[in-house]
This record gives sequence, structure tokens and C-alpha cells, in this order.
Amino acid sequence: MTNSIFIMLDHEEGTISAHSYELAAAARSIAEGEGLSIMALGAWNDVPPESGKFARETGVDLIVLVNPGLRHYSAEAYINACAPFFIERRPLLVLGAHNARGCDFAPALALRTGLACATGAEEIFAEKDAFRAVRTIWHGKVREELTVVKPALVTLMPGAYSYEKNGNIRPGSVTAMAIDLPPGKTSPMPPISTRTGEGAGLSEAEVVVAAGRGVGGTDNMALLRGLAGLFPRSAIGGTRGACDMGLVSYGAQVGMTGRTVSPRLYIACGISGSAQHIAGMKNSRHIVPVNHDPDAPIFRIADIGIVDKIERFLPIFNEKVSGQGKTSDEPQK
Amino acid sequence: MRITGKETFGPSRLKKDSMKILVCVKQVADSESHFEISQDGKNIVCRAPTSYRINSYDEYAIEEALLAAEGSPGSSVEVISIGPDRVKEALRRALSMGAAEAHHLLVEDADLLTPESRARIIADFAAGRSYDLIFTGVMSEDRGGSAVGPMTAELLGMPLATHVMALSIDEENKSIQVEREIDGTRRHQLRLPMPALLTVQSGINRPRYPSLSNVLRAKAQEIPGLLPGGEARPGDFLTRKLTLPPDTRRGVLLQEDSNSMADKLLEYLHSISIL
Ligand SMILES: Cc1cc2nc3c(=O)[nH]c(=O)nc-3n(C[C@H](O)[C@H](O)[C@H](O)COP(=O)(O)OP(=O)(O)OC[C@H]3O[C@@H](n4cnc5c(N)ncnc54)[C@H](O)[C@@H]3O)c2cc1C
Repeated sequence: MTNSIFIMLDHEEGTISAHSYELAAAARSIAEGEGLSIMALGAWNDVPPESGKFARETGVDLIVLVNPGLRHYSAEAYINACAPFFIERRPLLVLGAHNARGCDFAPALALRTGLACATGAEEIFAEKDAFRAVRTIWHGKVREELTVVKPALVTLMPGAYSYEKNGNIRPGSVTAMAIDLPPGKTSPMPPISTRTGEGAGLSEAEVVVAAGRGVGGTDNMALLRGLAGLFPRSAIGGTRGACDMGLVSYGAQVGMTGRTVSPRLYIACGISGSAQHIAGMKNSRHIVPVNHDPDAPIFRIADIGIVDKIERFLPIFNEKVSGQGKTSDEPQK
Repeated sequence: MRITGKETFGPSRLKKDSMKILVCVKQVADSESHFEISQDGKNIVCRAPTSYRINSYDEYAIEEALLAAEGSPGSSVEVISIGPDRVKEALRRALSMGAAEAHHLLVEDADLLTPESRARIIADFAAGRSYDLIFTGVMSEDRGGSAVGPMTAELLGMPLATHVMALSIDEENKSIQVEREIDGTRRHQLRLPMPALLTVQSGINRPRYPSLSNVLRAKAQEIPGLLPGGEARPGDFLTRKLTLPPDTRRGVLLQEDSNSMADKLLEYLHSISIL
């Protein structure tokens, strides 16, 4: 075991994600005071164009494993590329992104290289013989602390650490390392774009009324449309759960695998507040959840939280507002 | 590959090969069930009445397996679950959706298993049973680790694709083509030979409701409890401590009659000049 932390550079083909910078921030917070070195590892058919920028801004030395077989991503090729590297370098800690790339290769990579594995952590600390990883489980209602034996691989939730640019940092270097790859069983093909215009109104809306599974059915969607209708520049969005139920179209899904919105007001109806959903709406100016479960995690980011059933609260509220519209000459506070 | 000892199901069987499919299913407590953290901070104890159900991502996995099996007659879908006796309910639900066979691996305190131990139990079970495809959900709703599927693939030496949102099977070649959801605007495409392991993302299909005939069959079906094999490695986790998340709420929580909450919300929206 050496004294190095390795960040798995999170890159979509040649594009380095914001998550990579968050991993650098997390690595820095652990390395501080522990005398650990930080390096990053990428694997592609070339050095990603923004590698220099990444190394310069984060101060992390980046190694990119290069082989034509890594052009399009597959777990198999990625693991085949990275495993021998880690077996040779014997890092103390490997940090990966908990997203559709990191979750795909990290658990198997940990097994193959003999690293203990914890996934979906929100915080990580170094202790004497172990790392302490903090994660949220049980539908967001319980905090779990795990002491993970060294050496370990830990994936971190998007947004768990924030990266701040530091002008005084010594720029890192970029090294390309040509590697051999054994022939793989998997054949990756070029990615496809699923971008649609659907739900585009969400980004411009001042008020977003969002549906979750707790809305229950299409009948109650009328209540949400009624609520949205009370505001001039509003749009309807939803959780993935609501999209899966057919309450809202997938184009209007808010979250990690949907749209990111930041309206002045976000009214979350029957939404539990999963990390993946919150990732897409946490920058809303005012957040108002309506949920009958007072322990729902969405209330943790609420400005004003309404503990009630959708079907009970919305008719009363909608009625009050539209009634108020009719007597608008009444003086307002 | 042919499964011997099973009757043929009509002419298409001659052209296409049947498949043997396994779905790994987890039973989870409903998100609204009441629970406590045990005194020692190691366990979550559910307070009655707790309703348990199939992890919703695994329902999509079951549906995808059933669709794949229906596409090549003679194929069969089996389900496996690790846990105490109550997980038989989840298995029975899978049978009533249309799975043919259920395997229960009996572990009383399954919540304490690490993802790796779970993967070792499943891999030990699946090894030598010549499954063509293994499906599971992209994550469990209670622990959200997304690790058991990929680790199982690694232990079995199977190619893997996670976050699968589309699947087509080319049986002649014994290969499959999948689309993986990366984010809201992008999917990866891969071709994998079978056998392969796939973890399924929600929305890939619409899980079916059990049919009456399957419900009746599932009721009558024996689900034997098996003892898990799979060599455990020394645990990855030395300790586990559970607590309630700190209250970081920045706003107010209203818990009163609907009418006065509506007044207060209206007042709030006035105060921020939205209404
Ligand atoms: C890789 C990946 C990516 C994902 N990306 C996204 C994403 O982009 N966006 C996203 O939203 N999710 C995403 N998810 C799914 C996410 O993990 C959650 O499953 C989802 O956000 C839950 O949706 P929900 O809040 O509507 O449902 P639930 O979690 O089921 O919550 C429903 C809530 O409604 C409440 N409720 C029930 N009945 C009522 C009632 N009558 N009145 C009021 N309240 C009621 C309940 O108390 C509960 O809190 C992703 C998951 C994965 C694995």
C-alpha cells in the first residue's frame, strides 16, 4: 500500500465532467494533514482535450491510459485497462463518481484489485487504519457511517463535495501512457443522443409545479395543473417516479438523468426528495414541498413545508388563490 | 444452447434457442413504514405494520426478463432472493408476474451483508447453472449501493452493462444489444455476448400486474429455503453506525389543519411577491 489517493477521472468520451473536479476536492480534504499524494487516472483512446486544464486547475497529476479500444466506453475494457495499473501502483484509496459510468465499473474494479468497496458516499474521512464513509440509506431517512478497511475504493455522490478554484495551486502534469488491452467480449458503439425539445419550458418557468409518485394517479394531476395555472409563467415537471407512472412525460423529468431547473418557486407535490431528484432542483430560489410524511427528506431543503395529502391540500389552496383573484381589490398585506 | 429435459413449445423453437434467465430480487420495506434504529446503532428495526415489497427497480428487471423469455419460446425465468423467511412474499409476487421458479437463500440478518457477500452468494448459486442472462435492478431502494449486480458479473466472469434502458436480443448470435442511460441526453450502446449480466433502469418497460392464473400457481408453488454458499472474504466494513440525519432544515414545517396551512402558504407567497 502506498500513500496515494487516485481519482478516477470522470469523463464522457473526451469531455471531463464537473464531477471530476468534485473528486479532486474530496481527495484534497482527505489528503490534508495525512501526507497523502493525489493523482488522477483516465482511460481513453487519446488524452482528453481538457486534461491540461483539469491538471492545472486542480493541481492533480493526471495519467491517461491510452488504447484505441477505449474509444467508446464499456465496463469490460475500462476495468481491463485500469486493474493492472492499480495492482501495480497499490493506491491507498481510489475515488470514483457515483454515476452511470462510475457505478458501472467501480464495484467490479474493486473486486478485481482487492480493494474494499463502498458506494454512494456523501462524505469521506481518513482514520488510522480505515476510511470512514458517510452515506444516506433507507429512502433518504437514515445516515449510515461505514469504516472501510484500507486500501479501498469509494464512489462519491454527485454534488457531495464542491470544487473551488484556487489560484495558488501548483499545476499538475498530464502523462499519456499507451497500454495493451486483452481482446474483450463487449463491443461498444458510438453513444446516441436522446435530447428532445420536450419539457424545454421548464428552464424558463418562474414557477415549477413538480409531481412525484405521491400524486397517485392522473386524476390528481388536474389539481397540479390547477395550481400551475395560478402562476403566469409556470411549467409542470416531475420525478422519474412520476414519469414512470405516466403522470408526466420523460422530457419533463427533473434530476440527475433529467433536466436541471432553478425557478423562483419549486412546489414539490408527493415527492420524497431522493438525491437524484434534488440534484436537478436544489438551486431553486424557494422550495415548497407538499407531502403527508413529515420525515420525507425533501423537507430538509424546504423553505416552507406542508405536511398534508395532495388531494386534501391542493383543492383548498387552489380555491383560496382563485377566490382571492376575484376580490383582488381587497387590500393585500 | 438447449435446455434438455423440457418439452418443445412449437415450431419457432426449431429456429430459435431458448434461454435460461435469472432475476435477482430484493425485498425492501415501504418508504413510509415506521422504523427505529436499534440501540447499538447497527440495525434498522421496522415497527409493525410494515409492508414489504419488491424493490421497484427489480420489478422492471423481472418484466424485462419475462419479455425476453416471451421472445424466444421455451425460455424460462427464475428468480432468486436473499433474506429471512418474509422474502418468500417477494418471490411469490415474482412468480405471480410469470416467473417459473423461485429460489430463496435463507439469511436471517441479510441487512448486515455487504454487497460483496451478497454477490458471492448469488454467484455461488448461479455458477454451473448455465444462465444465459442475469437481470437485476440498477439499485436497491433501501441501500442504494448499485454494487451487487456488477460484483456478481465480475465473480461469474460475465460481461456487464448497468443502467440499461433498451435491450434487443439477437438469439442466433447469442448476443444482445443494449442502451445504457448516462444522463438526460445521452445513452451508451453496447453489444454483449451471452451469458451477460444487466442491471435495469426504471422506465425501460411497464411491469405487468400478476394474472389470476399465475397468482393461483404462485400460491401453490413450493419455495424451498436454501442455505447460502459462497466463500465470504473478511468484511470490507469494520463497523457500521446508523443515526438519523442531522436536522439541517432551513425553513418551517407546517403540520396543522389544511385550511390554516393554505393561509400560511399564501401569506408566504405574498411575502416573496410571487402571488
Ligand atoms: C441512476 C439513477 C438516476 C436517477 N435519476 C433521477 C432523476 O433524474 N430524477 C428523479 O426524480 N429521480 C431519479 N432517479 C430515481 C430516484 O432515485 C427516486 O426513485 C425518485 O426520485 C423517487 O420519486 P418520487 O419522489 O416521486 O417517489 P417516492 O420516493 O416514492 O416518493 C413519493 C412520496 O410521496 C409521498 N406521498 C405519498 N402519497 C401522498 C399523498 N397522497 N399526498 C402527499 N404525499 C404523498 C410519500 O410520503 C413519499 O415521500 C434516479 C435513479 C437512478 C438509480
